[in-house]
Amino acid sequence: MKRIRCAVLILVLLGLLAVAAQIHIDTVTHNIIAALDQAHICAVRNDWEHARSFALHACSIMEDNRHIMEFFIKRETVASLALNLKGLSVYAQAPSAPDFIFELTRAKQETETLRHFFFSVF
Amino acid sequence: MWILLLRTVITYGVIMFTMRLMGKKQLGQLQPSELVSTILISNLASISIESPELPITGSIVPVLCIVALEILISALSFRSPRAAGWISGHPRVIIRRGKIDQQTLRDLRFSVDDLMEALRGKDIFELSEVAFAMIETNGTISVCRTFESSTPSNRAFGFDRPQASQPSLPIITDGSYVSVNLKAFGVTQEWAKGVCAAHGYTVAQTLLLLCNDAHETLLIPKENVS
Repeated sequence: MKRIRCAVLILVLLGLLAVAAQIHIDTVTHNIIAALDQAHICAVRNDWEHARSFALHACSIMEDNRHIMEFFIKRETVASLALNLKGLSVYAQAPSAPDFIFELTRAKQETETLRHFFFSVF
Repeated sequence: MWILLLRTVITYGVIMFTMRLMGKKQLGQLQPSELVSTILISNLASISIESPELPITGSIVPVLCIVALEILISALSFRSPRAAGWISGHPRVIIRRGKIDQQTLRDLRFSVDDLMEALRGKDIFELSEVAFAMIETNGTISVCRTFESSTPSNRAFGFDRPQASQPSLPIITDGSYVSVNLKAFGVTQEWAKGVCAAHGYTVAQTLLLLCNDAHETLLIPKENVS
């Protein structure tokens, strides 16, 4: 009976961990994508100061949650995204506008891919 | 994370199903669910060791999930004979009164050669020696010999029961007392010393002194003792 209770407890704990991971990854990736979208809108409007601040915000979200994300997701994937987000703000200026848009799109795609790998079953 | 759990459950179910589908021939000593757990756990355990880029939760979470499932499934098997039948299958009688049940043989996809090999593994070389044989759920064969070929027991011969009911255990090994066994047989170091002396040796010269609960002893002295 003890073993059965233990097994049920393990399953419940794993379920709770799974819910926590699901919510956390969903929130973090959603926030990063939202910040990158805002940066994109600002870049299109030539508002480079805000574009840079949104890019830095996306980077800080990533840095704050990186260790928890690495608990659930392949470290290489998380590290690659973190690296891309880190270099993003450097391009946030008028002369390098095409590069900034390109890097933004790439970072967004990478975040979407990370979400896809985390949430897809097959 | 849900996906990881879901994938673990799916993998467990799929492997379990395939093992049941493959039948008893594919199984060794383990029940199907135990075999599935063993295979999955052994592989999962190596993932995080082999691939440091993967989070350790990638191994731990599925392994815990499998163990929990295994416990719950074994509990279900214990409580419900019907569930036990679904999970582990049922033993099948393959030889009845010395006659092979050919339909069961076909169902289990056992060839006659497989059957004879399994019987030889039980030291039976003549089919006529078998009264009854079953294929157990773990894939092993259990055999009941015919009355004529079964080994007679001590009772059948009318042998007297020996005084000792337990096997002999060492009292002295390599010149040292084994205190646990001294206690178990209710003897003292002095008694053991006396036994050695009766054989013409000291305790230090004794390699092994065995004793049983009837206090029968066997002494082996050390060789080349000066």
